[in-house]
Amino acid sequence: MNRTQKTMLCVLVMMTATIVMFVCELFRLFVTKKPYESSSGWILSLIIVAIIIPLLIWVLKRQNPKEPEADERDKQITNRAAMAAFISAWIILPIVSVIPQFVFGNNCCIPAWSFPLIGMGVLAIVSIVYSATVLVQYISWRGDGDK
Amino acid sequence: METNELKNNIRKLRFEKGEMTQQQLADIAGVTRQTIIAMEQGKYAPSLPLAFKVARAFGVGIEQVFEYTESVPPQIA
Repeated sequence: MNRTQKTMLCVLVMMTATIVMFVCELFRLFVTKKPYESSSGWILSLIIVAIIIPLLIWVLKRQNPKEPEADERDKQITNRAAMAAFISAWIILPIVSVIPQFVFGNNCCIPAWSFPLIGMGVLAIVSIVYSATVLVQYISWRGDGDK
Repeated sequence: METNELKNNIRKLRFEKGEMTQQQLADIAGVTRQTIIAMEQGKYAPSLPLAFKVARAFGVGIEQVFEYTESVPPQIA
């Protein structure tokens, strides 16, 4: 696994976790309407830091110092993934923008803080698309080789 | 429909060249071993500079390493 693959795997895991936590938080805010507990937030932050530090060490460690970080094939893979992410952003952003209208109706108001959240959500989904596209391409081009 | 195929003799040439490993070829060509594997299996078509680097690593011409076949179906009159 090269550094690009490791990075994309980390991005995929972290962004998926972010979306899951975000949905849970929305559920707490609007459905269960429980008050926020600062102690649970601190515990969650510590768990995240405890996961991120070993992940960073794993990503930054080079497997073979002689090998280049990325070659033309890696660049081709990331370029294709960037194109897929760009197209997905053009599809997801309009869909996400009209969802509040369908859910709350035409005459309802939504709080201003929801707009940056929508933007961040789209960014997280686009990051997932980008990293997943990179990983899928590496898997489809994978071979065992004979060393 | 016209089909184009890029075949290569990398594996054969590696063994003819004193059983050169994929890692050694990757180091000479300045790419990762994964790229050599993908090229060998015909899953990745290299750029022209990389194709030349691979050919030079074996000390042969580019056409001895890569073979481009173009098959055009017969035209119906």
